[in-house]
Amino acid sequence: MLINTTRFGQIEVNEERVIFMPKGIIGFPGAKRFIILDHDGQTPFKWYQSLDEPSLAFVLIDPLIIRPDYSVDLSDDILFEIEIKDRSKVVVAVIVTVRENPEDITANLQGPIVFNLNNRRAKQVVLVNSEYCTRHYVLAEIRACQQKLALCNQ
Amino acid sequence: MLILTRREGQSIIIGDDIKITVVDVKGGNVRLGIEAPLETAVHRQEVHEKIQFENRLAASLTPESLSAADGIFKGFKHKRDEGGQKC
Repeated sequence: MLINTTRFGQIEVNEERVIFMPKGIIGFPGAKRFIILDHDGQTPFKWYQSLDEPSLAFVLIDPLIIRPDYSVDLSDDILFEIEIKDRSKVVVAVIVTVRENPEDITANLQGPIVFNLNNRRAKQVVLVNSEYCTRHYVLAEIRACQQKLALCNQ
Repeated sequence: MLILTRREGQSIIIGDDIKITVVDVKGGNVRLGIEAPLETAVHRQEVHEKIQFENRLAASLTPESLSAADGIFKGFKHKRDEGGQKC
């Protein structure tokens, strides 16, 4: 099907690739259907384009790049809402925000999006009492991680 | 908004299966006990608002502003694809 987007113009979307968020994204309850689009294959970013609101798109990143030990506790309300039966078919992504200085890109590790690959349903989760916050400096954390790795490999 | 007065130890029931009890009132703080079905999410409002605020900020991103960061982030691929090297 053809969809209109503000950023990318009219694009062809394979219906089988559409992701359904029963409750939308927090703050955007009407945005329930999304599609993942490539940005630049050399970077870790993906676009998360709404099919319901042409002007709404987020940028996603794999949180494991920032924190290799990142994990989300799958509480019952998550399991129920996106019908997770097989935990091995769950993938998590986080939303990034670009500041004026591109080096200051932050990632929201406290509000990850959990995807059920089996039925392409997803939910944005709020992590409470967690060590994560809504603004982690992506570049600084990646560098810290790489430094640690270099030390380990010495 | 419905406003009810409750004392310590008293409860209110919402629908068939949500019960909120005033556990303790001390120094301007009220401690609430919440009993709800497992599939019902319960959050402090301010955490929810923080995520909502960040979502709104993130939604204003343009391909141009993201592309400005491409050079810096080139090569930082998904760890998963590289066999999951850990820190």
